[in-house]
Amino acid sequence: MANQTGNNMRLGIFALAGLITLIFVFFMIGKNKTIFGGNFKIKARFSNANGLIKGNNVLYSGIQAGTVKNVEMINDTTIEVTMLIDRKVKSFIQKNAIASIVTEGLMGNKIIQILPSKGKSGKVIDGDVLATRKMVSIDEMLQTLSKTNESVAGLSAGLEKAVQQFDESPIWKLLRDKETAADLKTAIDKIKQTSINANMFSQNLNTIVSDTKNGKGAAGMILTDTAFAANLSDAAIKIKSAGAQINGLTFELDQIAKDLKNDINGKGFLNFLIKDSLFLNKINSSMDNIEKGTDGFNQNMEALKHNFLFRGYFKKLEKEKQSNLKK
Amino acid sequence: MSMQSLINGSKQFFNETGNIVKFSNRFFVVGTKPGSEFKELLVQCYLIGYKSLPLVGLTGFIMGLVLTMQLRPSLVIYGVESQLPAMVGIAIVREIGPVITALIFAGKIGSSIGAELGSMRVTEQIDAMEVSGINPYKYLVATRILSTTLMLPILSILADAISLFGAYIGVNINSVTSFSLFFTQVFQNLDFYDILPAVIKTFFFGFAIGVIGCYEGFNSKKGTKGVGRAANSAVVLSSVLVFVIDLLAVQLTDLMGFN
Amino acid sequence: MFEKSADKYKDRPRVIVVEHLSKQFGDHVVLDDFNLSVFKEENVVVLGKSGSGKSVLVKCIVSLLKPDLGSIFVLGEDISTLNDEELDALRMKLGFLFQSNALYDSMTVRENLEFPLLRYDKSLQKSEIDARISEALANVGLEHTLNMMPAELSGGMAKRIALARAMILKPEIVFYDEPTAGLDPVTAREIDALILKMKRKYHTSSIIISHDMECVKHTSDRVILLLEGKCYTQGTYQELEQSTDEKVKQFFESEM
Repeated sequence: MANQTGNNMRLGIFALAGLITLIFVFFMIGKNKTIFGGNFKIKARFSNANGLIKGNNVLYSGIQAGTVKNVEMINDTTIEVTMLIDRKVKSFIQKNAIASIVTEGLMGNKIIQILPSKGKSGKVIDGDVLATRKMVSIDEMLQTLSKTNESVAGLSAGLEKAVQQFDESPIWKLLRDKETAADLKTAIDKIKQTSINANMFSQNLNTIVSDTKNGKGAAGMILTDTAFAANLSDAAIKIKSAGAQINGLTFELDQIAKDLKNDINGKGFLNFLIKDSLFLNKINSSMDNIEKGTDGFNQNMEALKHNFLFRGYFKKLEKEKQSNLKK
Repeated sequence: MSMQSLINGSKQFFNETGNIVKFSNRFFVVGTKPGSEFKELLVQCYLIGYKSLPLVGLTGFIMGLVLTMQLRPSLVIYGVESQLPAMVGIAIVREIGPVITALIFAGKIGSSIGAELGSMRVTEQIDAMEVSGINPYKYLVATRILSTTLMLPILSILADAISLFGAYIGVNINSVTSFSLFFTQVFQNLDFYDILPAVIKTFFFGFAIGVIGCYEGFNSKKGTKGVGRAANSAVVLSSVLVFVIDLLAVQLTDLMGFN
Repeated sequence: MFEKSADKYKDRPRVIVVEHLSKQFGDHVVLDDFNLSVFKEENVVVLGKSGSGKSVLVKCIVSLLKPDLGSIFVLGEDISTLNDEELDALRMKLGFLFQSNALYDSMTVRENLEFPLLRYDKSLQKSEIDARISEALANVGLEHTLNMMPAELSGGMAKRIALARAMILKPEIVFYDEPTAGLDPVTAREIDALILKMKRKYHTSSIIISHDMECVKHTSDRVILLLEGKCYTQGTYQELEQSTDEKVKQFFESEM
């Protein structure tokens, strides 16, 4: 009989252990899925749900903030997504926050990402509809990148030409002020360097873009990493701005060259010298900007190298380099 | 000639299926009557549930460990090694835990029920029970079916937990992850829709294993050969049924949009 | 012609009445329009070759098998009309000694004896149960085996414990399926003596299936010869022993 009681006790412990495990698991999931609390709803309207389904996570500034309660078609172009938001998080979300549908990690779970915008607009209230941003698609991004790349290449070619012209122009001979001459020379060198760099980057980008388009490597198959996309996007913008600056610079150089010509032809040399220091300052600051731009781009390229998607590609590149060296 | 044997074979198959359905239907008729054999139920739960835990736990642990180590290389190729806990967690909770546990359970418990009831049938113990006014279906069969139905879900939940622990160790063989990070990653990717169907289907697994084990034993043919056959077909048939139920379950959850 | 030999029991109530019983397995006819009456406190031996349907007859009477045709009355009740509970209640009044003893081998001797008792009357006190168990064990002279497992018992002991279990509910009718089969002659005679003792002590009626002629000789009030599914002949042991019928003679000669 005592044995019987012991057995029953063990059975009880066994059954309870199972039950507690189950409850624990439910609790752990419940913590993530906000099923046990919170009926604070906000909405967002998208033109493309991108496969978002009921139960997907909602992140606010990268923090778990709730789940998707419902995905509903409200007319032929608009899909309304209702989100259940955690009590703890809701007080931080502003009315002007922007919702977008992005992919979580690599394995393809869609999530709604809510990001704050600048400026105060008051806390969201139940039933608010957030502004949305179209998700950056990799295809579109690559197209933009490709275009940017072409214009960068065109710009650097133009810049080189301008510099060459400038270099060959007769004003050098007339410039007796050694300091100015040296400064100008460094400036020109910098411009040269920049154009070379820009050329290189554009070539690199070209390879990546074409590789990706041709579906080489893992990247081509699963280019969905949003952080990476943002990086690329940033890079493209910076290249653009650098290009614009270079453009401006070339224009100015051109202008000055013309002025110089005019000077030689008519106006006094002093005039030129006064203009010159201003001009140099301008060139210098422009150069700085270009450098900053290229630095940023460099950093992006570095980030790219470390991005897991391209890791394989860069490793291969390095290997090729080494094997070339050996040869 | 072969046509005739085919007809006979299918006749026998349908007859057997009908008998099994009738047999399990009796469970609902008899099992719901008051005055059930509660004490015997507890004894059977102890023997069937508690006593299976070490075996089920061991296999669960090994499965978790092995699964993790086998999955790692393919995830490394895609550079998503960090998704290993999530992937292993879902695989274990949704499929590996319930099915492996059910198969081990069918091997251990299905055969033992088949052999036990088979030998009781052969040595007329079941008849003896019946003629002394004890309903052997109620005493022997209903208690065992109920035990397997109730114990397998518990076993499978515990096996899941042990298996995840094995997976944690598997992750730590090649890299270092903290216990809390591992389980946070596992649970972050688990949903109620992963757990609930998995738990519910184990009830059906347990019921099927209990019914088949009891049916084969209860209807065992005379002689020691009959007992061996009862044990054998109990294991084979219940293992196949586990897979069939699993297939049905996955389709059903798919239909209901629980994926 | 043999009817008068059983006159002693004629005026007593009939505890078992079997009418036009037929049973067949597939194409094999086991019982064919079989009739039988058992009177109170009468020991009826059913004699027949192996596979002649003796066990089937008994199993039909206790409703382990369903007859194809015919009706069976046990203690005045038509068993085909009873539901499960009523059948179980009726079976409480029946004892059955199986050829293989059918002791529950996962239980001790005590639990084997206790098992029907606990379900017979849930209000039984522990002291009453203990008393009933010791009485049953004393009847067969095996008090010391109380806590042994069936596997530890010898053949004769197991048979006696099985008998004790069959008698534990003090049944009105006891069925003995080959009670002496597989036992040495000395033990077999002890079992015969126990069967008679139980009859005297508890006033039971019995159907005994046997082809052990010694056993038949000692225990029978009436012998029924079952041949080809029918009651070929019946009478006391002495009457049948003196029969000149070839088929009856076969049984007695083969045993001598």
